[in-house]
Amino acid sequence: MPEVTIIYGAETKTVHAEEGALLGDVIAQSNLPLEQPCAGKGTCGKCKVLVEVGTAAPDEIELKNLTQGEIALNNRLACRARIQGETRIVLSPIVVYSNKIFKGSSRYKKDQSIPLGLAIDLGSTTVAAFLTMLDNGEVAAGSGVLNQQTVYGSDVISRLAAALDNPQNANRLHRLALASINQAVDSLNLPSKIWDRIQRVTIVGNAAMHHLFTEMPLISLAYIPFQPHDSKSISDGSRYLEGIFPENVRVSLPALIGGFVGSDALACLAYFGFDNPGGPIAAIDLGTNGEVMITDGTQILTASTAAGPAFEGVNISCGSRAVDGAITKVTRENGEINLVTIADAPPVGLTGSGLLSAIAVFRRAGIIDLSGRINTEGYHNLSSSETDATDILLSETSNGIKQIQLKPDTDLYLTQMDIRELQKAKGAIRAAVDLLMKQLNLSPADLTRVMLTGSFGGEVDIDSILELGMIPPVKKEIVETTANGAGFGAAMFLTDEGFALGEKLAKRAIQVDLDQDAMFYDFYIEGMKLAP
Amino acid sequence: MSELLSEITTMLIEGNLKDMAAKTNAALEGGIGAEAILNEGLMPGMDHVGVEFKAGNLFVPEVLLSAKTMQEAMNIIRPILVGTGSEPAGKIIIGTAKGNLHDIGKNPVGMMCEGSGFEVIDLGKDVDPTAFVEAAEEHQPDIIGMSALLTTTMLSMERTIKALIEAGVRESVKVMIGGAPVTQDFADQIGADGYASNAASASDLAKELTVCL
Repeated sequence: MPEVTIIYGAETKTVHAEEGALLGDVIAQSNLPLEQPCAGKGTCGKCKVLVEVGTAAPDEIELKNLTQGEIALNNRLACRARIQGETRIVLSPIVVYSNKIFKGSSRYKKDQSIPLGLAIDLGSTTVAAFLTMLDNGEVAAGSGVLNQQTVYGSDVISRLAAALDNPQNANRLHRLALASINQAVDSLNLPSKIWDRIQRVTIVGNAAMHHLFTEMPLISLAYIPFQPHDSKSISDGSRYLEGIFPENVRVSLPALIGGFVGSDALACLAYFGFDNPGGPIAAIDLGTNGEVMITDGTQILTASTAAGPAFEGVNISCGSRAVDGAITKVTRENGEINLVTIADAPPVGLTGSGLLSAIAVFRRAGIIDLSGRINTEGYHNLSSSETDATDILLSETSNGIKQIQLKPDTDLYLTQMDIRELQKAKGAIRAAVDLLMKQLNLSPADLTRVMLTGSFGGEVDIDSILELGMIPPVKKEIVETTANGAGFGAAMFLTDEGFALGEKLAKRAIQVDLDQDAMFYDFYIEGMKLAP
Repeated sequence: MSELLSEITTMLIEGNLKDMAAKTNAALEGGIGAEAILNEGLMPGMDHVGVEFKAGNLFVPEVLLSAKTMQEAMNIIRPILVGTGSEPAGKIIIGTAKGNLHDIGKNPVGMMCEGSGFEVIDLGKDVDPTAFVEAAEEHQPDIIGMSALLTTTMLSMERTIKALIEAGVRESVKVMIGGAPVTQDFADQIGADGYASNAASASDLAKELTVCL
């Protein structure tokens, strides 16, 4: 009986199976996770696996349900594929999602002559694809999916460690990135006619994503000096794509700024106009690693700061992804709390922006003090008849941790620990901003524009950001939020002029290593305070 | 006498950096022993800070200030304690991983462990794997504690563990790690004996690990 090896991140199982056995059944035997919601009809596509060796050729039903890119990568439907000879397969994470994240002009549908491109933002958590009209650079649609590399860990370091450990893992991480790109493009639902018009693809990401994708040596990046093996742009990157795009499509990978600040930050610089800023400006790409970019008008400084996943609602007791019912904003008027949720659905939890605005609301009411502590004494004073804070209910968790009920009739609580998580995240961002400002000799009043972007930045409440001091005190009017700054910047790199602009910015931008500056520590401590 | 000790406790909790040295000297002059100052003055304060920190009521800035305040007292009583030959709970070597220049997490860990009765040898910041090995050979600690604040330096903790194995000292010492980006999974992956998410848990973990020895 042939041997079947099944790889799920760091876990590997070997089982024996009959020749011709259904791959899905064999995986089920191994007890490794595989979703098969359509029960083997081959229609839902949830059971896609990457085949490294073995299995019989796909039948018609399977071929019909796989994209060209998936076939090129040897993605297979476990519910249809059959064992043939020794087999080795790589599983994807069990929870995959896809979100439409942007919808713009559909001019390209009417005018068939408009050439098209795809801008890929290869994030460590989300991989997003943006369909772009190449005649004027306008983005038509965007869609994001989970990066399937997360089977090797949600943090980049675990993935680097796995790849360093074993060259086969490195190749699997490369192929999981390709599978994620395939899936992101697929979730745009492009008809084949539109697909045929795609001429260019550009891929941006942080240095680790870039190196894992291109299978570059990782030693210099993972250990001191934490420098990229090669930061130069790659204008012909089709050799990394294993045929997932047609041969005539030109694929480019823009330059990295440094070991911590990648081509995704470069894309933000392009999108926010750092080449010609007209004065001192700052941009922040909020994510697990927050990228901070500041220019005094000439010099461009960039840094990456470990904000952690709080802004994505992770590690928050009632945190939530951006699903229906997720709270994006909390307001309080005349002693009544109002929860704003996605799709107006009943509240299920706090997104990053909801968390920020909840903390700002309770801080305003005096329930949370400057140091971030839930102030029970203040609460007792406030709850006396002269005040209007009787609507705010405090209690303790079973572990004796203080918590604030978000709204009297809900079962959602903001705990003391949630506030601490946010303080760490915003302290890291603020410290990076303050440090770059100091190095450029800028004061907050000098800034003419501050741009916030990222999965969380697009919908964030600017008042809360300023009140809690995540950015230095500036006028509210100069703060802008845009979702997908890196994706839109990547779309600019699809044209020759845009690519040249990226090259110019990569030469100008300087990476500041935060841990080389002793002041970072002081700024971090100071940045944890909940005040402008 | 007990009043001075409870004042020391309060000073530590409040982070009263400027008065701690004078108060400690006053206690010594008043005939209170160094051991009593540690066990009945500083340690109850440390316990309180640890409990409050775990509950989230105190946070990093306050704990750091308490740590500094405790050091003021320790600098005075440590030489006396060594002279009296009182037995520590165990010996811990701590340091931040190679490439990591920040000790925001490491310092409170040192303080909490010292407050729990451990002898703490602090190798400081940006500690090379070979320096950990040399210190392990010289001091023969029960535990080595490492931290990394930046994700990029996490892998050098793995290098230190490998270096300990190569030097043949890994068997005789427990390794615990921590730091903002570190997780239990990561600790398991690189073969550390334990992971703690904060300074208070780190001192609890140190106690557990020494019991296992």
